[in-house]
Amino acid sequence: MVKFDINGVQNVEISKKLPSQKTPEEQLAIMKEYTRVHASETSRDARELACLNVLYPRLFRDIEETDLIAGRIDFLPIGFGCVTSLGGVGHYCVFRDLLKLRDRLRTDEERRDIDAMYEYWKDHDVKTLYCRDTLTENTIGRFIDTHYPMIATARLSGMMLDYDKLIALGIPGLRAELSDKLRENAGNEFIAAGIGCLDLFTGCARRLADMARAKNRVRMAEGLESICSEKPAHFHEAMQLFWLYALLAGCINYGRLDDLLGLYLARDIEDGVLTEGEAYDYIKSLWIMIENRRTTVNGRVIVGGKGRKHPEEADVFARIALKVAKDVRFVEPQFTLRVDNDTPEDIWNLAMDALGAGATYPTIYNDEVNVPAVQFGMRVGRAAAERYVPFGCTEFVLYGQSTGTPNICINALKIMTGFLNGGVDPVDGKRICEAGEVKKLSEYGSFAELYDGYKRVLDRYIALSAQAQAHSYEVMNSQVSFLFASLLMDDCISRGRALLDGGVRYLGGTNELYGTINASDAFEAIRELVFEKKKYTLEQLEAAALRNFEGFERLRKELWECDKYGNDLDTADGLAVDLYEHLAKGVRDAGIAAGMRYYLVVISNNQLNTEWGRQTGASLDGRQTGMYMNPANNPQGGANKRGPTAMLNSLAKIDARYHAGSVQNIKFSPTFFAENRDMIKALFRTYFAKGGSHIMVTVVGRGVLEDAVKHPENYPDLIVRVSGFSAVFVNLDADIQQELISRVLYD
Amino acid sequence: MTDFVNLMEIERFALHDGPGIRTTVFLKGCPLKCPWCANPESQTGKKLLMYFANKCALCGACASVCATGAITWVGGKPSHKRELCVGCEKCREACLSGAIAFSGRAATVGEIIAEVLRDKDYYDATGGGMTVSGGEPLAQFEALCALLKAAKSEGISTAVETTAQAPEQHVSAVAKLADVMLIDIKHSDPDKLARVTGADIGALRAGLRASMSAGARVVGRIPVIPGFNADSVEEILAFAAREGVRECHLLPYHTLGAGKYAQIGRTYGWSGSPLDKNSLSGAAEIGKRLGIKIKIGG
Repeated sequence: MVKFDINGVQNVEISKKLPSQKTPEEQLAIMKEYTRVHASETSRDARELACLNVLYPRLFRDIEETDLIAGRIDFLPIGFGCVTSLGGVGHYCVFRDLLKLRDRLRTDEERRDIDAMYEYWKDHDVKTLYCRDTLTENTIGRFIDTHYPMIATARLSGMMLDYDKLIALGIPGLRAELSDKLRENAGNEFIAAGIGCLDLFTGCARRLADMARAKNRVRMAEGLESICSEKPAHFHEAMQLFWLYALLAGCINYGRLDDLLGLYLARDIEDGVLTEGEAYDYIKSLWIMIENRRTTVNGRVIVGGKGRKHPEEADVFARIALKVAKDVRFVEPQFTLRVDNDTPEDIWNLAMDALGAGATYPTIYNDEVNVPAVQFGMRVGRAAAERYVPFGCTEFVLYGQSTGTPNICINALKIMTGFLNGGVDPVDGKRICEAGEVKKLSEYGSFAELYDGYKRVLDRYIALSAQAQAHSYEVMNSQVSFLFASLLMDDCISRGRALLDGGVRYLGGTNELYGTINASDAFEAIRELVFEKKKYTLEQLEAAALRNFEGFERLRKELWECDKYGNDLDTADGLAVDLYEHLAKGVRDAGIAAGMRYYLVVISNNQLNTEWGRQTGASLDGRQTGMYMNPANNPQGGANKRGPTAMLNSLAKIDARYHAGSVQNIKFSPTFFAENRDMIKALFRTYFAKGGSHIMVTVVGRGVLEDAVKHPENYPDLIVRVSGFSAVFVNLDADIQQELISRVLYD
Repeated sequence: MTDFVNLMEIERFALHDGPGIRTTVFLKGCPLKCPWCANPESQTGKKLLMYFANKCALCGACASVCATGAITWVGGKPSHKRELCVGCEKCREACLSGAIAFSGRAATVGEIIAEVLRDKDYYDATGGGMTVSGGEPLAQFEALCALLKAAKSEGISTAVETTAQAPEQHVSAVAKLADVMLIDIKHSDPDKLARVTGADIGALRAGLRASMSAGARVVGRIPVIPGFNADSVEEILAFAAREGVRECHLLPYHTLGAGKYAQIGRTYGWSGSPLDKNSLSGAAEIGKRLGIKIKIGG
């Protein structure tokens, strides 16, 4: 078993969490009880339910003044969850947080309790169990250890549940369905535990109702009581039911709220039960509650697009939500607009208003491309494909029907730097290619031979990634059922099986790619300088890279001046497409072979392009050691020099059928954006018509980011799109800020 | 007919040189010498060394590789004699800080059109197309015609931005090929026009007439320059109206090109503060009276 640091950071965290409302002693008591219950129960389903009953309703926070529906929860270092952004995965222990809590406790006895739990969870934390199986000395590291070319984790990110079903049936209807199933199959522990979850739900709702009454929040209290015994009748009840369920399920992405809530919203407005102003307040309140969860890269709310059951009513919600997004300018929710050829013009205009105001939202997805692409990529029918929803940084999942968690990341550039260096990573001397995978550089007789050699190394990593992804599901399934999530995922109830136990209709997964554009640009430079112009030998280039181009500045300039992706050139774009398709098709095929319905690459990146760049050696695109890598599907900062149409043309060449989400960033100055809004709208639409799958827009003044680096105190609210998530600029690390500044600004 | 174009640059996603999203092809060479010119590097047909002092690391590499004496090292910095430059670009290659660029290169019509074609979908969606500008594109009459014909045969709408300071039959021939003629009307006073810019009002009037009778959509382009014509906008519009122009763009004076003069070893010869767009808002009313549609900015 390879050694790894269980105390390490497990995910990107820019937004700081609200501190727990529980004292350290209260936290300790709950975790002790949780650990005791975990150790005493043996059945997977019963244990999960019993553990959840330890946590809830205890972990609910106070109802805040701004809350119009109830439900805020704390997370402890030990507990239950789906994702690493809040708490952890399955039965989890976040060891670093546990140690921090230890420091705040007063007595030796309490600290001994912590130590005992630390030891217990070393053998029971789901993610740790997975890491023990999967990590290797040189090739596969833990999330997020950027010393490795590939990293792996166990998590269940991006679950977006079938809240439509929840709201249509209500808790009583769902209970009836489960009871029927249990009568059919009396010994089914999963179903029995599922009924227990609904009891827990109503217990929590009633507790919250008491809290609401104590604060004189009559409508809130009545709503909470009503959803325990009735289907929701009104907008606020539907929102309450959805929200409380999402909290208990540990979900941090919320799905197509326009279609979910639009009918209730429109009806309440029409019946005079709700004014549009009150609706705005409800949605704003929900936005605040989502923001306050501070997941950094999640919190997806999606509006618009194909496959909605009530598009007109859904658009009523979408219009108000677009106004809220413009006004609040939060980093979460990650507010997402799906568009198609039928999207009303005023919705487009509201989106442009919000973007022009610097909200960085909505981030826009093109259904005309994505729906057929999902059909192909995930091997599903049209109706299922229309259920695609982006989560996290962009990964697609089918709400209520598929898993899509990205449990593996591959750094294609780090692998390339090792491949060119005799199989050894130049940064740390670790062997990352196997014997036989590399030759002496002088022995490569042609560009094709060299490039092919690199692809063979990638193929091995691709195969490893598919196995590691599939194994993450096996490990999680051996430990947990994800009961709440399972109940609202097809076809768990009808099959009587938990999500990862054969319950979910489409077991899918995703694989995050990094550094692919740097790699293809580097190959383009090699092709041009070594094999076409024969100006240098490959050894000469590699020798310069190993010295980080010190003393080879002119050569570095020549590398940088070779054709680059992002300029609409057949050369560099052709290689970018080829490398992408090799990786994407390879991953897809490997995933199918490993038994998944789909396993697709995502080209999203949060800020890992910068963090992983720190540990990646100098590359032959002219990038220096430690420098950030290209963001998502975009060119390396400053490499695109032919204007926005050329860049978007390059981006649109990436075939959407082979990925489950690919982030496309573009940056404009406010004046330019405001003065040319119609042309920019036409620019986006034409790019979409040419095959563009997505666009995310930052509108920020020239010089503003530079000034914010110098005077952060003046820019507490400056929001930027990093890639797949938005953040307050001044909270980002210095080199991540520099990566954002390097991106071309159109003005 | 030549197949080579003396090209300054190609700008994609150009939004101010005619309708819609356009690609503007800037040609080198201009017979006029407007002192406020925002593209002074376009005036000469010669390939021109541009030097960005703000980027220069003062390393001396440029002077050490220059074989013609166009760059010498004097007093710790480069000294430029552009008349000696042969455009070999060795200095640019040697400069690690990107402080040297060259304006002007020979390009084929085919290669220019190939790049223009890449954005055809954007033109089609917005009523845009290709604009040929300069310099004065009519100074390369044959190349200009070849470009316009090639674009036309690819179904690309075209515009030409010109001073009309060219033989009337050339203007006429070009206007028959172009969909839009953007014609500079810098002044209505023949003396001022000739003295300050070197342009001949007779050629301008002939050009306007020839363009209209060729069936092109004619747009008057009036750069509004304080100290030259900012007080005469009404007279200029009246002149345009008399000539039959029904559409004019007023382009407020800006100094964005002023820095380029130092980059090519010249001194910027116009003083004045940039004009705010809003200061020209009164022109709409005048235009209405004269039957001219006014747009502020291109």
